[in-house]
Amino acid sequence: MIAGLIDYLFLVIKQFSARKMRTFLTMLAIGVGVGSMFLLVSFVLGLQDLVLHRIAPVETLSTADISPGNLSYINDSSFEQVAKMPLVNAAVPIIYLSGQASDDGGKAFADISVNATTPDYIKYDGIAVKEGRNFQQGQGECLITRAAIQLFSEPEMLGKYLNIRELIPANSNIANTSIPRVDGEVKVVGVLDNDEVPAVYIDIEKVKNVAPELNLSGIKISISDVSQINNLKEDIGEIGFEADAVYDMVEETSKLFNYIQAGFSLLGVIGLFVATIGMFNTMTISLLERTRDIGYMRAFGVSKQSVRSIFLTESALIGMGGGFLGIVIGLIVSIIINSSFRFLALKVGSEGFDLFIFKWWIILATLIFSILIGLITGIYPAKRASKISPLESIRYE
Amino acid sequence: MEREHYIVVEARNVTKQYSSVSESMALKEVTLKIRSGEFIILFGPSGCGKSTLLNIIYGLERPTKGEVYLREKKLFEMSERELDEVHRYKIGYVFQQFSFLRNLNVLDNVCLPKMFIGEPFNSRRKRAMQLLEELHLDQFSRRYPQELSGGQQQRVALARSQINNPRIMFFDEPTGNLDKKTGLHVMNMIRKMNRHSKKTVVMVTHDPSYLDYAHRVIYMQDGQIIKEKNNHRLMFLTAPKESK
Repeated sequence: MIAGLIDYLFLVIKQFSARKMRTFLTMLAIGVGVGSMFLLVSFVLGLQDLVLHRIAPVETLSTADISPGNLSYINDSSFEQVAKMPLVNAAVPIIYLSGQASDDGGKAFADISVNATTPDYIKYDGIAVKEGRNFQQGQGECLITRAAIQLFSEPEMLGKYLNIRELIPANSNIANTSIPRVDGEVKVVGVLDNDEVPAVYIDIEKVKNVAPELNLSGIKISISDVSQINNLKEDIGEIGFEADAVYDMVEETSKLFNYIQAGFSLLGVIGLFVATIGMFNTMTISLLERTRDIGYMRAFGVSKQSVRSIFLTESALIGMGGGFLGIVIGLIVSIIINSSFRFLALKVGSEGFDLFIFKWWIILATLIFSILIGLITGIYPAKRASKISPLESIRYE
Repeated sequence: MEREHYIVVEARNVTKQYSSVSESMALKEVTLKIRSGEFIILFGPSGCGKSTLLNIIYGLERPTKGEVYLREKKLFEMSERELDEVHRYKIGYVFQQFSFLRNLNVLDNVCLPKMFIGEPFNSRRKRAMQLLEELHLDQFSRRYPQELSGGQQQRVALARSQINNPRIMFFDEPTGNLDKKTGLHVMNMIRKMNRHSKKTVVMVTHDPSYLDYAHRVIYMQDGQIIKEKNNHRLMFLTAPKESK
């Protein structure tokens, strides 16, 4: 096989150039089939990426938000109770407050959400710190969302000081209607990637110092084993709280994606199957047309194996050509769709994402896969070709 | 017994029957010995079995009964590979009809018996070009065989049969599709091959005008050899020496 490989290629290329249109159409059919498979795979990868990395970064997958039920509240002891639960790796308290912030010179004044928490919250919540760094405890630092920046006159807030007045509400469990206040300056050390909610994240200690009895608004927990999430939810439910896990949403979404993937796969497989039948047909016609040629080749001492190899080379090359066309078609279609999505995203002012994701291994796998399909399709015609009797084919021409 | 060494091809009691039901036999108990360096013509009307005999001694067709020997070896006991090598290297065959690959040009068609065995492109093309030059066909090397005239095609077939320089040459009606003048031209080339290159030639024809070219004419009818005629004058000129 190896010794004659150049000759097989040579002969097959001659055959292709004698039948350019047919060869191209056969390859195109394979290409459309392979291309749809290619698109499917990159689409599924794109969706996975979208869900896992954009909507829910990896850290957030193993987290859950605990909120007080309608009739309960979270105090420090129930926080400890949650933190000690066996599946809970880490627990982060958060208190949502409202407040007013003014910038350095007191020029701009804005109503703003104030989230009092610990630095770990940022990590588990999966909000990206776009500029600067996370805040540190006990340093009088804060983070600010991009949405909040727009409330101030200055576009650059990093390193600036904000004067924040948090309004501490009366605790529902304490019959006290007074509203204490925390005033003070905090330094902006990081900007968060959030364009919707104007908010600052500050050190929870600052609030606790003023109002130690203040209930928590929620707890963010990191879970050691997400598959046990339902058990944990039950435990949390027993002490009267509710838990929402990102994992639940992702799981629901993945189920939907599985259906989409199955549907696409079916389409792809049908397309490829039809293309393969077409190729098989072409190979058979090509065989019939060349019965005479094969007869003479055999009569001049070309071996059965060589005849078989010629046909296998031909079908492998058709498969390869089809795979190449498929990759080109797949790339073109996905680039068009990706850029239109980006364009649309830009129009509505949100960050774009890629619906299709390419990996070099997909391209390589597609190519190998289509060569294999070609080879498999070629086995039968090649076998038939090698069985052609020289005399019969010469006599009955 | 001395002479046995010089027998290159031998058909022994070869019978060929195409259908077991029909009575007609294509060949009946044919025995034929072909000696090295001979020019033999199998002559007879169409349907007499001469082409069948040629195909059988070339190994394209299996006899119903009997044996064919190539030198001392039984042709039909050879492995497929050995038989392929016989067709590639040991016996050259020129068909009456168009026998080329239409997708390949003249040069590559001449190369065919050197293809698929790992022989480098350039060296075989060089050899093919030499052969084409000898037959004054070099200007057609890039053309396709179907674009050439019948006589040119036969010369290309001749070139192809020579590319591995086999010692034995078979011709099946090589002049069958040619006009008189071109036919003579091809015949002269065959004779040259026999005389100068000392090749054994077996030729099938139904045309009596070429019988003088042969050392021996085998007359066939109804699947049998009915007569054998030696052309002694020619034998003297080109037959191999009997001693040694």
